[in-house]
Amino acid sequence: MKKVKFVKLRRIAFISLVGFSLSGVIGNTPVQGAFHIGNLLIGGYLKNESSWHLQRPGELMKSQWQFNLELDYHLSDHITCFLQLRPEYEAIFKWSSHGMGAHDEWKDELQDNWFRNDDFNPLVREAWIHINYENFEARLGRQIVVWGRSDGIRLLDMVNPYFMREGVLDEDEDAKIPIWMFKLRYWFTVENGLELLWIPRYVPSVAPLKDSPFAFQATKMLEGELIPMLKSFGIKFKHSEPGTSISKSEIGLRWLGMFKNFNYSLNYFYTWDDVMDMVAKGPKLYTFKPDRLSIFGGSFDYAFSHALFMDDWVIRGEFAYYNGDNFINMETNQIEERDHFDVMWGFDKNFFVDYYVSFQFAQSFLLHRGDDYSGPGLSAIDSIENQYTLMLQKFVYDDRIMLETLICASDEGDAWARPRVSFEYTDEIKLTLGGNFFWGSSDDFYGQWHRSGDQIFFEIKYGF
Amino acid sequence: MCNHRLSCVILSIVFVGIFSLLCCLNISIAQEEKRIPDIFSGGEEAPFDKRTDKWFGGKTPLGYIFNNFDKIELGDDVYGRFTKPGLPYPFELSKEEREKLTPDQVMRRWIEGVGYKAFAKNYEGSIRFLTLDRRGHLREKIGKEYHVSYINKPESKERKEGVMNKFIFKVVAPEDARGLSTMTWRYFDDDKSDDIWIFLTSLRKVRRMSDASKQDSFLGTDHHYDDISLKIPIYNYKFLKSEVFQVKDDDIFGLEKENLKRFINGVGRECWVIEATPKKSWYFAKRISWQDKENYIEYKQLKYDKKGRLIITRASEVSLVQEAPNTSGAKDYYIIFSFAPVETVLNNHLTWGNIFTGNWDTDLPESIFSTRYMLTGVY
Repeated sequence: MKKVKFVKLRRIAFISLVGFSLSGVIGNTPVQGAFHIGNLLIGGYLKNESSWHLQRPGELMKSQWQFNLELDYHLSDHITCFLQLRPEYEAIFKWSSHGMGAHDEWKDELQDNWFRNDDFNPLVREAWIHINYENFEARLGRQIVVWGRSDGIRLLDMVNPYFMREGVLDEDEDAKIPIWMFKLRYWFTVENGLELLWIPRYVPSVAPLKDSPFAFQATKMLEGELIPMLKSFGIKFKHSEPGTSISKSEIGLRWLGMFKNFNYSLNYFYTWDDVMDMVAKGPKLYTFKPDRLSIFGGSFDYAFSHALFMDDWVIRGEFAYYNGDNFINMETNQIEERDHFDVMWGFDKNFFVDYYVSFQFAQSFLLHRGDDYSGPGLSAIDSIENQYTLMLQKFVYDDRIMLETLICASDEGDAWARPRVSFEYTDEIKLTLGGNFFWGSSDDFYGQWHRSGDQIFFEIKYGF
Repeated sequence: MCNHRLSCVILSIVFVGIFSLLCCLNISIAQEEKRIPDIFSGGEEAPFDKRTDKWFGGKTPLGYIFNNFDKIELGDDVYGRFTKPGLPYPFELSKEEREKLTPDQVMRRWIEGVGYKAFAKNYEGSIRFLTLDRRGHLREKIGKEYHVSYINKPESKERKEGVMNKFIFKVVAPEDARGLSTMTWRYFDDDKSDDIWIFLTSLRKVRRMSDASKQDSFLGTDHHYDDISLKIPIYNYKFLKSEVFQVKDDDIFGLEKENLKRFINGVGRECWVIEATPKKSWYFAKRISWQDKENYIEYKQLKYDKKGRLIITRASEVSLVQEAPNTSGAKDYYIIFSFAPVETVLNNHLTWGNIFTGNWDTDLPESIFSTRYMLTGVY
C-alpha cells in the first residue's frame, strides 16, 4: 500500500492541552441534587462565552450561548438514567463544517442546525443508563470516560475524541465528544476493580479547518496546498471509517487499584487513531482512514507527608506505550509506523497557606528513530520531546474570586499562557475574564497560534 | 441577510430572556431545602449603613438575623433544634480522673468524640453554611457529610493500619460546586498527614490532593481547616482556669443578651479554659477555648492575632445533654445540634453553620469511603 506525504496531527495526542483546568469547582457538573420532581433531578446552566482578538481590537472571535440541561432519574436503588442536552448558539463561527472553518463578522448562515445536532457537537451529549448491583456496575449509552492522572496532557486519556474548534482552549467538558459505549466494572475489593470498555463505532477528533484562526499549520498545508494540488491532477478523496462490526470496535481495559494509599491504574486500549491518515488507494483515489493502535500504560499518585525537605505534597505519574503509531518521514514523505513511550510526572502542593501550585513535566520518546518526522506545527519531532505545564491558583475575597495562571511550554521555546479571574457574583452567577497568549515560531505547536489566537475572553454563567 | 441578522438578534433576546427569567425565579437549590428569606426586604431597615461604613447599632448582620429571629420564618428544619437519643459517649473516666487530664488530652477527646465521631459506628448528615459579608451579600453552601470512626474499633483492619477516621464531604449547592466531593482519611500517627482525594466534576476524575493547608478557610466560610481537621501537635496547650461558662454582655456576634443565651450552647456548664498557641507561624497567635469538664465539648473559641486583637469568635454547634439512666443502668445522652455562628471580627464576615439533618449508626456501608464511591456515586 502506497503512502503519500501527509503531515499528520499525530503529536496532538501528546502535546495537546485541551481543556486544561484544575478548577473543578468551577466547571460543569453532573446533576446531583438540583430540582427534585419525585425521583427526577434537574440541573444545569446557561452561559455566554465571548472572546475578542487581541491584535484586532473589537473583532469578536467567539460569541457563544450555551444552555446545558441535565436530567437524572433514579428508577430504583440499582438503576439510574441520565440525559444531558446542550443546545448552543454561536454567532461568530460559520455553521458549515461543524463550525471548524472561518469566522464571520456576524452570523449570516443561520441554518436549521443551530442546535449542533451532529456527531461532533450533539444536542444530546450524554444519554446513558447506569446499573449497579453489589460489586457490579454497567453504564450503557453515550458518555464520556476519563482515564489517566495528567491534566491536559493526553497520554492515556484517549477514550473520547476531541472537538477542537478552538484548538487547545476549550475545557475538557466542552471539547470531549461523547460517544456510544458499554462500560462495565467489577470491584473485587472496595478499592480494586476491573473496567471494560467496548466502543462499537469509531468517531474521529475534529480539527479546525485551514481558515480558522485556530487551524494547525499542518492543516493549512494539507488543505491549502497539498489537496488542491492533487485535486488539480484529478485525484479524488474520500473518508473511510472502520465500520461497526465487532472486529472493528475499540476495546479498553483498566485495572483500578490501591495499595497502602498508593493509587494506581493499569491500562490497555485497543483503539483507532483519533486522527485519520491520508492513504493512496490507487492512482486517482486517496482515502482518509484511521490507524489501529495499541496503547499500554498505567498511572499512579501518592501523597507525601514529609519528603525532599517539604511537607504535604503529591506526586502523580502516568506512562503510555504506543504500539504502531504513524508518523510522517520528512525525508521520504512516507507514513511510517513507530512506537513511542510517553511519560508524565506531576507535582502538586499548596505554598504559603493557599497558593496552589501544580507542575507537570512530560516527555515523549520516539523509538527506533532514524530520519526526521514532522509534527502538527510542521517542525521536526525530536527523539525526545519535552513539555512543561505550570498552574498557579489562589482564591481570595472569601473564595469568591479565583485568580489563576496557566503556562504551558515546550522545549522548542514556544508557550501558551492563560491568566484568568473568576468572580462569583452570587451563588448562581459567575463572571470570568481572562486572556490567551501564544509565543513561538509558527512551526512550533503553540507558536502556530501566535497573534492569530491571542485573545481576551469573558464568560457569564448562570447555574441552577 | 437582514432577515438572518434579525433572527440572530431575536435568538439573542430569547436567550437573554431565559437568563433573566431564571435569575428572577432564583431557582438555585434543592427544593426540599428552605431558603432563608431576604431579611433586607419587606420594609426591614438594611443593617449596613454605607454612609458610615458600619452596621446599624453596631450590630453585625448575623446578630441582626438572630435578634430578629421571631420575624424570620425559617421553618422547623432550620429553626428547631433536634435531638438524637441513645448515643454512647466515651465518658469512661471518673470525675477525679478527668481532673487529672492534661489539656492535650482534653482537646484530643473533644476532637475524637465530636469531630471524628468516635462514639458512633458512623454518621451521615447535611450541613448548611450561610455566609454574610460586610456588604450584606448572603451566600449559601450545602453539603452532605459522611463519617466512620475507628477510634473505638480496636479489632478493625483500618484501626490496625493506623486509620482514625474517614470522612467524605459532598457539595450539593451552589451549582458551580455541585458534585464536588472530598474524602479524607485521618491517622493516629501525628506525624502522618491526612490523605485527601477530591472528585473534580469538570475533569470527571478523582485526584489526590496534598493535605490542605489547615490555615485555609473552609469553603469560603469563617471556619478553618484546623477547626475541622485538627492535628493536636500543631499547638501547645495550657490550662488557664476553670470556670462556669457564661455569656457576657460584650460577647460575640452582636447578639443581644437574651438571644445570646438562646443560641450559645453550654451556658452554666463547668468548663476548662484552655489556651492554644501554635508551634509555628500561624494565622492566629493565641486561641482561647471553653471545654466542658464532663464531656469535653467546646462551647466558645476566641482567636487573637499577634497584636492581641480579637480576630475570630466561634461558637459550637453541638452540645450534649445527659438523660436519666436507661434500663441497663448506663446513661443515655442526647446530642444537640444548633446554629454555629462564627465571626471574623476584623472584616465583619460571618458564617452561620447549621446541621439540619444528622443520623448516627446507620446502614451506611464502609465501601462508601473509597475512591470507587467518588467515581461512581454508588456503593
